[in-house]
Amino acid sequence: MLEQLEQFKTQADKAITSANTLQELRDVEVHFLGRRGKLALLLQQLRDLPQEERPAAGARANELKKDLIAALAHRAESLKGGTPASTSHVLDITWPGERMPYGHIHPLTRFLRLVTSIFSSMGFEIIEGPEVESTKYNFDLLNIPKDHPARDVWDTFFVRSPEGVKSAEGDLVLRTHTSPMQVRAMETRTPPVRFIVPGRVYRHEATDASHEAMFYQCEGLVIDRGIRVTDLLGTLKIFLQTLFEKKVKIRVRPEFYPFVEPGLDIDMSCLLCDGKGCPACKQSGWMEMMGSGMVHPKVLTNMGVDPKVYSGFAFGLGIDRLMMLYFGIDDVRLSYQSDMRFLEQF
Amino acid sequence: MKLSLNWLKEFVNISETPEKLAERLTLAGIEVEHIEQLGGGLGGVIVGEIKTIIKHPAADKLSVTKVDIGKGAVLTIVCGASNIKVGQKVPVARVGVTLPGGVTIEKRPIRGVESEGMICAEDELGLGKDHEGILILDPAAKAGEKFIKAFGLHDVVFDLALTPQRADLFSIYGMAREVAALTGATLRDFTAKPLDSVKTSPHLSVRIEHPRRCPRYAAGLMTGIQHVQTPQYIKSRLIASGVRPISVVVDITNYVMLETGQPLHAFDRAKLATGKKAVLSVRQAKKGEKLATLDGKDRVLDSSMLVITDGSRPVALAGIMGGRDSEVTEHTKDIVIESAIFAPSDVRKASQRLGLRSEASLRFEKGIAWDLPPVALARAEELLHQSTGAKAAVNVLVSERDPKVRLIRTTVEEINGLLGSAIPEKKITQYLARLGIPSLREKRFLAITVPDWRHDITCSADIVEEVGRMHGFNSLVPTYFTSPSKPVQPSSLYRVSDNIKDILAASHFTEVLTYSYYGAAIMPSFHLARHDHFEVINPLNPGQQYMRMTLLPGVLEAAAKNSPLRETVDVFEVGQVFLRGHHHLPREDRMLALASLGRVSRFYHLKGVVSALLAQLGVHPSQASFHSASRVFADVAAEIKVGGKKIGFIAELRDDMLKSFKIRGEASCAELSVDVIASLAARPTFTRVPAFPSVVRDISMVIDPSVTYQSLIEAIRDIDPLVIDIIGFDLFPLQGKKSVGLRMVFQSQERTLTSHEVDVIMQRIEDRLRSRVSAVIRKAGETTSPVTQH
Repeated sequence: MLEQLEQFKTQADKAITSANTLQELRDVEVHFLGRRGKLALLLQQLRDLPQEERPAAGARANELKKDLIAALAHRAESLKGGTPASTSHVLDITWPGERMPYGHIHPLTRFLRLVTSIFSSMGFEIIEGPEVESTKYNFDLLNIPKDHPARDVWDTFFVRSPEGVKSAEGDLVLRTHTSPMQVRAMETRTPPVRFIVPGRVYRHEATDASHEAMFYQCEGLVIDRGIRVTDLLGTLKIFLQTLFEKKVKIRVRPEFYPFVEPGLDIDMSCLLCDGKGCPACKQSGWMEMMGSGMVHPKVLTNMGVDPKVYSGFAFGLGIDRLMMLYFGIDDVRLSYQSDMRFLEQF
Repeated sequence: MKLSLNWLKEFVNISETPEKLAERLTLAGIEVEHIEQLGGGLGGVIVGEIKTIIKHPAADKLSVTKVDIGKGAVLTIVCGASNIKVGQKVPVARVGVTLPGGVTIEKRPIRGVESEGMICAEDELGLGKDHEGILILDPAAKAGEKFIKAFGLHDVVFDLALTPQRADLFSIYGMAREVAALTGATLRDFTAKPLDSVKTSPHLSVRIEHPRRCPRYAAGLMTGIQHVQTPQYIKSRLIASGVRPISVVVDITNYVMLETGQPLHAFDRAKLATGKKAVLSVRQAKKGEKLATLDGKDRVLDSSMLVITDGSRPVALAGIMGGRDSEVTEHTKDIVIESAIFAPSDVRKASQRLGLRSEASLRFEKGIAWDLPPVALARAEELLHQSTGAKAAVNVLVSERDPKVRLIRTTVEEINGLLGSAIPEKKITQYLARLGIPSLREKRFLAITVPDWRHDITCSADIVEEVGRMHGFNSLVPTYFTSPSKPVQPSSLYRVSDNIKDILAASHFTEVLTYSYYGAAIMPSFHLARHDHFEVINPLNPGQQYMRMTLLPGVLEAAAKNSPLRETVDVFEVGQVFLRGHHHLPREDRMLALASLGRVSRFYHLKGVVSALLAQLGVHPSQASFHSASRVFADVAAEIKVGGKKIGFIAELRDDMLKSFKIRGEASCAELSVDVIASLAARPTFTRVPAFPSVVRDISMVIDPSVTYQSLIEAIRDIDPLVIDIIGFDLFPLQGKKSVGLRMVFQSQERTLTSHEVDVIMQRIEDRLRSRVSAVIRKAGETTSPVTQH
């Protein structure tokens, strides 16, 4: 019996190596391993063997079947042209692995995910909002009145609706910041809240290596009883340290944003020189990271929140600029040029 | 704004280095963008006095001068300028001196006359573009003195990025007040005290028709102007501030504006309506009224603008620019100086409408302090008297209302509560006092009087900021909020969008981000019409004029851009499109667009990716159906539906589209609604893993090319419940027909199938295929290799 099995193996091996197409290989498979194939016939004969010979023969038959299946698969692979046929089972570990193509997530998406995951871990909700806004939400409710010089800061794209309809909410604009969502989101929420709003914003300005007319921002808002400037400082410091995986220092400078008071710009000690001064930070040792501030009482009122009871802080991150710093990219326009030689690096 | 530290020092002592002061200001919210040391590279230039000028013997246009450079030294210098006169003080560069332009002066003969230096023009000193003539210095300059000292260039200038709400900082005095508050130094006041003024006089009167739009107007009549040179220190400070000196009257009004923040305007008294009395009237402009402004342009006015008239015609556009007809010239003897307050929003609207912004309008639209007009007028009269000998004859001051007193009540607890600090009350009131903000304790409240120059302080949060700035925000100790947070999940749209990106990246698709707008040029190709779009009124270029209604143009363009470099390109984008909605805002739908480019058709590849994507999001392939559709840009297109809901389409691009996108090879694309996918995405449902093995049989056949896969499936799907899956695995053309391979999966939940059972069903399948689709069966057989379950 065992002899027959060895004979079977020799025949099968020979047939497998001489199969030159996948179809031939399949025929070989059917012939040897099929339901009415050679091995099946041999196995039927097992029953006629004396009791004591049966286990050894059975084990050998199973072994042969396994070898055969492996040999078939291997031959099939080599017929498909994947890996070099190796008869001796010696693997060349320096041979390149099979080419596994994979796609790439845009660096801005990757970076935004990092940002949102850090804020998520701090209990912030992630929400989104419209990119075409009314001046009411983009400016008025944020304490940026019409005919006020403060509006000059935002170079605005104006939008005409297909019908040209005017609305009580003022002209349509491409949102110049993600801040309108502060008020919009609070229309359906009550304090305490913590949320961030990532998304596209638009500024009417000429593009160059450090300016794009379209870019991403991430707004943040926290409202609760007893929120203080020091909470703002602590939260954003923790965020920056987590983001850059470094014990960075922060410093603040008062800055004017009509929807916060006090308004504060957050600087971070330069990542490259640790604050000693280098070309990247213009020798100042500091890098400008984001705008922030305590929500203006007028804006709280516009949100339907009583400024006597609640206070809050808001912040806005320029995602493109931070992403460039994070990955060491030197031209903001690369993000929107769809060059695979750029995108495939991420 | 440019801030001359020399000028600043007139009002406040500065003990810090410029760098330290800049840092202190920056950390108090007054950003110093740049520190400039004036007179750089001019250290070697000295003052010379021209003693004699003779014509050059060999050149008509050249002169030979003798120049006294102090300590008895006299140089012979050849000069080509025509504006030099004996006795003038001029900048001289001696042999060996290198000028800012890089030129080093050498001793050399010019047309045979040895020249021992150079008399310099403005451009040669790097001070401007003027090469018209030599820069003539103030007669008071001393020969041999360093030029930078004589010309007031030993100065440091800060370039400030001021924020619009701090109107009070747009002046030297305002900055001095801030520096004094921040450093604790003492602020010096103006020497000029406002003269007594009257409401009207026999020589001058002011009439205001719109008190709300012009609440305060001061005017002063000065007589006997002599048109002398503007004093050098005034010129130097104007230049340091970026303002070009013009003539003594204009220079002094500009000087006072920069110093106090109050814009002034001077009228030539003789050019105002004649009569014994000059009358200035402030009124609304008439529609279509014309005024020739100082910049030489004819302006057409409308009723939203405010003008100053001399009783009969407009002589100035209030707060923006004076009229040419009443301009002060070198013949002017008497002048009327205006120092007024105009409503900020009026000035802003008018200047926007006329496209005319000036240093004056910039300050008016931010707001002028109530007390300022008479102070600035007095300062101008003082300086004009000192330099031109003119006399202030009469001052008129009309105030249409009382000054507004603004009070803010807050508490020490509120201030510390918002800052997270523990600053004692005494310290808080001291900080405020240094800023010129008086405060009084009234029971538990601090009653704070807002000074008239601080338009930006309107509520207690503004006081918190002032205290924070004075205390230093950086001395606060960061905390982390202690209140717990509620667990929150992003919307399913957000999560599905994110999932899609991961799934597609794993399927060899690369994410692109393209612009949210496109131009009208691409519309016909996609059967889009301009009038359906939300339109950008002021686009940067015509290619960015319309908000996208589809992501396809952007994604195809992105793919096409990369196609010359590689055999296949697979890209996608997830983003917003802007559609007409019921609301005044567009309906912003979230879409997914994919493009797949290759040498041969990528249709089945893309279809497979889309099916796998849907499957991974919980939409079973059997729920998705593809229906023949037409798209103007496609040879072949199919609408994709899930359970009757349209979710998008997939298409193979037409040749002319390939050409217009410069794609070599073939391209397929698809666009799907992420909103709809998100509404369908479901949690996977569990079915028991089959306890009995499945049997797989292949069947290959030759059929007519018109027979679709769908009709094959329909022909045999219901043949027996034991057929649990049918998969097309092989398709190729064969002698005018097509060869198709189908893989049949048989399985029972109750038992292991016998091959006889399967054989019987297979026979029925063969018969069915022969009869329904006239198939010629090539081969049917079994296979033992495991088949991946889909």
